[in-house]
Amino acid sequence: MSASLLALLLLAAAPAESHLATPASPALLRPVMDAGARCSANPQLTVVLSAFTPPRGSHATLVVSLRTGDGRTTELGHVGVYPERAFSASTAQPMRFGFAVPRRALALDPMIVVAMTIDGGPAPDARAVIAEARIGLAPQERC
Amino acid sequence: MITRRETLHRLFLGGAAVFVGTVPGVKALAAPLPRRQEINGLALNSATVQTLRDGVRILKNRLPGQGPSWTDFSNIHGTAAGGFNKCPHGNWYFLPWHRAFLLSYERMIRAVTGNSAFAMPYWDWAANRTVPQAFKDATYNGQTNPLYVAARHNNYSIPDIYSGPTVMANVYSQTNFELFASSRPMGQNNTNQSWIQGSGTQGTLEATPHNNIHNKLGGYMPDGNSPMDPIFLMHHGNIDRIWWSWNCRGGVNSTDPLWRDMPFTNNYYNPNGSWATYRPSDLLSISTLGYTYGLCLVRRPYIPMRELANARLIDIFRAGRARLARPAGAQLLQLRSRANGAEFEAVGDAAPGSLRSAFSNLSRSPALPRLTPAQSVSQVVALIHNLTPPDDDVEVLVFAGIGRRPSANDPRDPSFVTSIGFFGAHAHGHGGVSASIDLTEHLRTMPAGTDQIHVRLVARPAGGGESSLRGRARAVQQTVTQAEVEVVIV
Repeated sequence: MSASLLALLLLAAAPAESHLATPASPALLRPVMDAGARCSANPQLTVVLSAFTPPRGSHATLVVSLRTGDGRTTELGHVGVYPERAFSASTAQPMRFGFAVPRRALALDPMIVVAMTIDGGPAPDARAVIAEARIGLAPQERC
Repeated sequence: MITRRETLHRLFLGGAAVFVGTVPGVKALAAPLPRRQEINGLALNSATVQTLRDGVRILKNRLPGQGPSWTDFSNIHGTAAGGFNKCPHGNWYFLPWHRAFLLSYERMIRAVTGNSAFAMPYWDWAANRTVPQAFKDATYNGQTNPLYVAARHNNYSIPDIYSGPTVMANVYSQTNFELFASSRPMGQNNTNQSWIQGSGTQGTLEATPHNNIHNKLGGYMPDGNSPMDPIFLMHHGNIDRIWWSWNCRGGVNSTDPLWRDMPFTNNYYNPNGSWATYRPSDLLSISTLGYTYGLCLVRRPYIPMRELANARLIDIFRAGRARLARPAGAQLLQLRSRANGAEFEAVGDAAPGSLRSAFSNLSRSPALPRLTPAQSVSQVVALIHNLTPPDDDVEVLVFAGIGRRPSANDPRDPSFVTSIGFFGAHAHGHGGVSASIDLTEHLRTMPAGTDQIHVRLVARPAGGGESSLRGRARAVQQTVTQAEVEVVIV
């Protein structure tokens, strides 16, 4: 098998990235690895939320998880968007949420999953756009 | 509601964190600092809750020209139409800005009510998950309750995923201020006012309990004008207390001048209605600001002492009983116990001076001379065994005291430590339900003339409803008739 064919097959097998989280479908991102991430003693994931539409008459929570190549999913946190009102990149600064990431996960081809959970019934308009997931050093950390 | 296996660990980790009782030595001060207290520990007719109701009512009723109104205060934070106004969120000014905001309310309420001893209560939503009673009732004594907001989800119960033990352990475990308190805005290089609203990275404290509790309470709370709901003050009071507690546990605030020296210029009201300015560096000592949350003794915990206590407790948990484990250096009190109806009492004497050692050793300097294993104790723990509830609709209130028998049955009494609930207890096999409770913080705040420890258990229908006791008295009693209590100093 040629190298190019193998690369194509691997690409086809890789999960498709999506920056959009809705109640029906989570966002899935391959995190950007900062230069210092792999030498960090305390690597930090920053999830950047660039647009958000809350559910009407209900409330949303974003559940951020880490999915590693060994098949494990680790929940990192349940974050709320406050104030719970719609915003987009053109109307407001993005919101950033930080999480500690286990060091061992960095070697396991991590993916970031952001699921949107809703109180109550369906919320077809609710959505969250995740501009980026980035893993890097903790604040003031040096390698 | 908790399972039997969970009970032991969760109660132990949760401890008896609510600060109650009097502080030895404080009487010597001419004017003790007003102490902010957990709202659920205050009676509805207490002076503090009455002053809070009066203060909120007065501010809500203010007419133009009478000074800042309730809405004027809220507009500083934000409006329904415009979102946030002056308040920072999502960056490292979040905690100090809101500390000063709460302070301006506290001082205004003292001024308008004439109660200079008033201290703003807080709602410890990690320990008490439901909306405090003082805010749930539409009326109080036949009058409209100004703390009540009809649109608020007054029956909401906060789940573990927002404020449970795992979340709070994550909050307190942060060792870096910017991970604990949210980070600096990206690219900040000066103290221009525009950075106050800059976008940093939210830590767990802000992103999880803070944001979600705002959103889930509904009404005003999910929006920028959330201070229109008086429960905002209780919510942020707890955020403020958690910051203070994190500092007490050794958490160090940022020393960066970009943080310390940022002026929040004219962001707050003075009691006379003029504008006030604070910098984070003005806001680091709460006693200087005129309030306290109680003792803050656990500075830089002496880790070997804590590890020793943990190792002894693990030995005890493995054996199932302290009397079977008897870890070296630990002290197991000889207790006299008796069950009487729905109550169970145990009393015993600790070795002279050992309680004082336990209360002070955790903050002991490593530079001091080494202690013997028996002197190296830092925690007082009650191990409660063999609770046998007939079903899950029962709870056990735990009271404890030093030198004096706690006689109250009311969870608002200072001797109240915690309550034990049950989940699926009747479905488990023999041996009953066990729980362990860290009494250290609770007992440390009590006047200690002796080394005698009292523990009292009171079984009652879950929630305490007298009507639900009818016809169930004997079944409720059986919860504690076979109980066994051990008190160990480790």
